[in-house]
Amino acid sequence: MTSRSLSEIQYKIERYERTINLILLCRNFINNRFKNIKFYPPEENFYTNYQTEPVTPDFSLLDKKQTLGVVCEAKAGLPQNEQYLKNVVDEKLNKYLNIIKGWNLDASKFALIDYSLLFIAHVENIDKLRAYLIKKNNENRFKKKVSVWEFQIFSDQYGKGLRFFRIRYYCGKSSIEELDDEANIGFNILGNDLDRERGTCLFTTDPPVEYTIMNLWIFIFSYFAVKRGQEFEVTIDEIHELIKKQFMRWKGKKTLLRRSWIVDALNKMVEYKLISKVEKNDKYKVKYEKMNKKDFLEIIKEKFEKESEKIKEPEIKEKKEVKKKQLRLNNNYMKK
Amino acid sequence: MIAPQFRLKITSYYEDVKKLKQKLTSKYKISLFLIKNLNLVDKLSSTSSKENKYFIYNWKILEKFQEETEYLFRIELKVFSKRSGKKLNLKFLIYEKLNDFLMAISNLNSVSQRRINQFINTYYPFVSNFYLIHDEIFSVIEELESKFLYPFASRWHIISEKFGKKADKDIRYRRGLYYKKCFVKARKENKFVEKIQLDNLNSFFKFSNGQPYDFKITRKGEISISRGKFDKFFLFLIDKIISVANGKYLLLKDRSREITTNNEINPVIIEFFSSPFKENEGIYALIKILKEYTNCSYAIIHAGNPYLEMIFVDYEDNSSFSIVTFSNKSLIIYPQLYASGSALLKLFDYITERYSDGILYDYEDYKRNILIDIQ
Repeated sequence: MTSRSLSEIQYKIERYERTINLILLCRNFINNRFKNIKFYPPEENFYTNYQTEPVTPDFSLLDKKQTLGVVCEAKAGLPQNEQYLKNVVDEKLNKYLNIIKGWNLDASKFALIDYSLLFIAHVENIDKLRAYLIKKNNENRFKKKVSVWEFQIFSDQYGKGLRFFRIRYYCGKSSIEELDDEANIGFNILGNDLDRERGTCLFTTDPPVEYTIMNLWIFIFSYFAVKRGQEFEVTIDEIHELIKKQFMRWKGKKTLLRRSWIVDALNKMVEYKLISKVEKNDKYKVKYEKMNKKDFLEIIKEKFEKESEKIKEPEIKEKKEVKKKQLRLNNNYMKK
Repeated sequence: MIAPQFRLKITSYYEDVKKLKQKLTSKYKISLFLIKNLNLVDKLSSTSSKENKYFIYNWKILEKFQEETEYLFRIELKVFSKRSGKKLNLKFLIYEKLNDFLMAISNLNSVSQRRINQFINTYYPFVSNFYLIHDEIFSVIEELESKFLYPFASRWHIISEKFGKKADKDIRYRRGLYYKKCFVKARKENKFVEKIQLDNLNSFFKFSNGQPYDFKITRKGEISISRGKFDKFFLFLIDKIISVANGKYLLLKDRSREITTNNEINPVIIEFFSSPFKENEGIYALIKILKEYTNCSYAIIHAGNPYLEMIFVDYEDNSSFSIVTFSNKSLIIYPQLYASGSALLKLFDYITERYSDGILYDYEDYKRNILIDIQ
């Protein structure tokens, strides 16, 4: 976690939540419009030939009859920075176009399936993304089909202030033709309906640590406090189980929840003195009470800044000394 | 709601209790509370002291009547303030209808009545305060008027402008002004009636017993009777208030995700009478008041332009929820794993008291209506 302002943290969390909303929007789209296409939430669904990291796209689609698949990457908020776009897109292209060898249909079945790659990006970034993909394809022709959808958030035209999420086909081709046709018509849904669904599907891939801390404190620890009192002890397994059971409810599917996300967040909370660790039984001790009147994210930010100041202190002194010496040398030189 | 025979018992009880009789015939105060999963009389019988951050309470039940699920008991309560060191010795009555509501009745001053209310509130979230919005106070009085053909005039009433302006409360002395005019005028000014002292309009309108009824009613569901006996008139008033409060509680209870079908989120909507979220200022004003909510932690994820999203935990009973704007005039509350009906009611009251009066809806019902409206 690098030092950043409160608004940057808020934006990062908002972008993460927006990505989940976007995935849920696509799930609604698929379930609404197609009977033969199955929606798979983020999970380890693929086989690879290599000993690489698990392939975990944001979601994937599968037409079992035609044995065709689509691997999807939802980028709810691509930054303007072109280097970032390059890094993200290159990584995904490499990962999804070269590594996947098969599809894990059910626990035991395995299928070799022709598939395409789908990018979904915000309407603001869509032209840039398209231009970049064309450039990459010209440099080295893609091994698989690639398509792009755009998404946007808009208010209703009647001035009621209702918020809608919308997806629409933008360019390229996917392996399932009817998918492109339907997406061409577009699909929208009330933002609050997605927020409601998101409340039960809090995690997808790699959440920002601040987001995990915030949810642990407000949604998870509050529940433990109801059951165990304001001061309680809890293990990583208990937290992991509760989140898996209550906050990873992708309509009955088991999805990916890395233990490391929880461990990282708990370690940070110990570091920030929000909770403490009981070494002898590997439990975490929580005194669940109000800390002060500030926004919880602001508290995390301040704790982080305090911690990083402590770490940085000696380095700063050294740097200052070097600067002083340089100045003296320059001064002497000037005098000479 | 109260068994007819027992109503008479309550009334006659006032007459029977000699010490209270002299005072209770004229001025007394009633505070109403909802109770769920609590038998207060049992709780109070099993122990005799309790303390919290601010007070130490010691009590004794002096007398007790029971009729099926209804109890009436007289209690002596000693309150010691840890902060000021002051001691108060209070005697009052509690009427309890099991798993429904209770009333604390006393002839004491406002400070003492507040201490009684604070004592009963130590049983939160099994006990919940009553809250009435402007329109509900109005309809309760209107029903009372049509039932007893007894027109009321305002002696004075307090109105507030809200939108985060806590101090902006206005007392209006309008002796003899027909109460409906007070309510209509306040709404025209985009203000809301919080308390109203009502008198009989003129001496011509009296009951057969020749007894006029004057009383004060507040948005907290408190009734102060300044003239009139505790008879069918006030029992009707209390029944009406209870049915309004119960309606809201029923809408809010059982929304914790831990008990909903498939652990789904079951949201509620507060619709305001104006469109405060049309401008960012309306959203900032709401954030300002939510930040001042007692004993809570919150995190703001998106503030303004064009919506608000924050998550929230109330440490009083560790209920947690997300709060998001739904439209220009409505707010949606998503209850999380544990969110008690009392905590939701308290939040609803806080928002409607400090921000703007609004009406509660179940999300699915509301969405159906508003989307039909758009199509």
